[in-house]
Amino acid sequence: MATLTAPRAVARDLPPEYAPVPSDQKRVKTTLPQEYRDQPADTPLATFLGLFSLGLGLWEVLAPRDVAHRTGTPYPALVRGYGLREVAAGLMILGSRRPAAGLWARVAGDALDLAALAAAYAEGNADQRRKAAETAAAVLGVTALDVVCARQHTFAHSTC
Amino acid sequence: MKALVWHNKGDVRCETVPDPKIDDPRSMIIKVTSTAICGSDLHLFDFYVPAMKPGDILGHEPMGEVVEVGSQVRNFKKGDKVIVPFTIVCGPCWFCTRGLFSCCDTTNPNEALARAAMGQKPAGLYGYSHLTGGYAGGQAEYLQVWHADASVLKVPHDIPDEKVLFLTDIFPTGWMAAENAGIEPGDTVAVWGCGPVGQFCIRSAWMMGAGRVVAIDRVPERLKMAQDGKTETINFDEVTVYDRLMELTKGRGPDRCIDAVGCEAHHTGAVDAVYDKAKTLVGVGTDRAHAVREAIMCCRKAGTVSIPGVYVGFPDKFPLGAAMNKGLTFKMGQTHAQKYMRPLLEKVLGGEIDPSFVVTHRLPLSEGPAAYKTFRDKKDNCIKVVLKP
Repeated sequence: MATLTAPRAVARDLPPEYAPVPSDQKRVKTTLPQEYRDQPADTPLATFLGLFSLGLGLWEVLAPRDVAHRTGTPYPALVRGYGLREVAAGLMILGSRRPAAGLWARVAGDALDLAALAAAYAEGNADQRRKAAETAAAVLGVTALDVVCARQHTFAHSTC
Repeated sequence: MKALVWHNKGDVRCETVPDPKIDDPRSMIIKVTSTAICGSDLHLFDFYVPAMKPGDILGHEPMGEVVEVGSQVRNFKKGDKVIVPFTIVCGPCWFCTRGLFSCCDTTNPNEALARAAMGQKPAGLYGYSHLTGGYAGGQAEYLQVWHADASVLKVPHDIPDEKVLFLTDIFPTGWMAAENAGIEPGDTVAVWGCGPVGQFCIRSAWMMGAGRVVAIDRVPERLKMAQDGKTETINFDEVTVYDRLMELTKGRGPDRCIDAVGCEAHHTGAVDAVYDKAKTLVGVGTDRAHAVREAIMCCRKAGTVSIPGVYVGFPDKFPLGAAMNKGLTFKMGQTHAQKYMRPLLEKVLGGEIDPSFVVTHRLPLSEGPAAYKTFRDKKDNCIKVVLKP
């Protein structure tokens, strides 16, 4: 063992206000409240969905006509509004320690997306119908991920 | 045995893992009796420190009872009560012989990885990613203690664990931070962060002769703990830290500034903090460095900035121009725990300080995963968690 070097000379004792608290007066908690024990683990899926929401939302806000054209929906103004919703959900997920609210907001948003796609399918021509159907399939896939992740963050229990 | 195992960002689990075995004759096995969660564990938990692998056992503030010793261990025997500092040191290398234990040259086997990240390799650390050796940590029922004779300190059986447990890290860290600040009698010392290390910085500053200590945080119970003495406090959610410090020091600035926050600083009102947060959220930033930036701007000319808070990567917008033109001195680093643990033990045994003041939660190991989140999110008035395996 190497030679130990003593700390600097102490100029003074701790102020009396820092006097040790007698052990019988100390209040140390020996259990956590149930709400803290039931916190789910963070998941990479939530982070992915948050980033996905943010990216998709920005695309919808900045280029609504492009999105509308690619998805077969004739409602660019609605697409821009949905983009704002996606951005808000992404920020809720990424910016919060408890992302369940943002994830459920995404699930609700998915339902709105599907409703808009159904309307576009009903009104559209053959090309628009094909694009709307393909988009709806993709939205359903993401919806499944959203539901799984939202449930994990709402109902999951301690990992121990 | 049971241990707290890192799986992913924000995902630590209490799991059954293989018991440790002595695979180096200089090592020994301890049965862990107390082990704490450190603020720097949260950087691992939140995956700010890269090079974590699923399955890594966390924890670098353990103590316990020796249950088995290797054939070359001379200073310890079965039944000894020991504290295990977070730094693993060899003893005879160039750095160890100069008391620079956290720079030990021989205990970090992952030289290539560490050199790529830092230029040189620091010492091996328990439970602190593969950048520092990938050693299994002490939040477990048993721990293999490496280089026992050089690294570990025996403590009396009759002293409660919580009075000596923090000699493993946070008390020496707070002390070294205050020492690095170069405090002279009468100095005004500002401490950013009133977490456990900040609390020991505050007390160490007083013990070294500070004339005035100002603590900066926004968590009420942490400010209250700092205020239990005569420390003045600044809640950064209520006032502008720079303005308040200038007001307190008549425009001169604190003589010594200590950043006990590190890479996960919070601040809702500052542009640089929002920018850092956005960058780290999308994975293009490594550190949220608001505290050290503010310390540099607030420090008086020719003052000292001491950094015990952990930084991991490449923080930007670092006001080096201010630091240079004001002639600031910087000192920082992982703590040379072995240099301080014995003299500080004497202070504890002599009744000069009872480090257990900082403990707010004493929990079974099984509650470790929830305790990580509670501590990180500053819920339930949580300041320091001690786990009892």
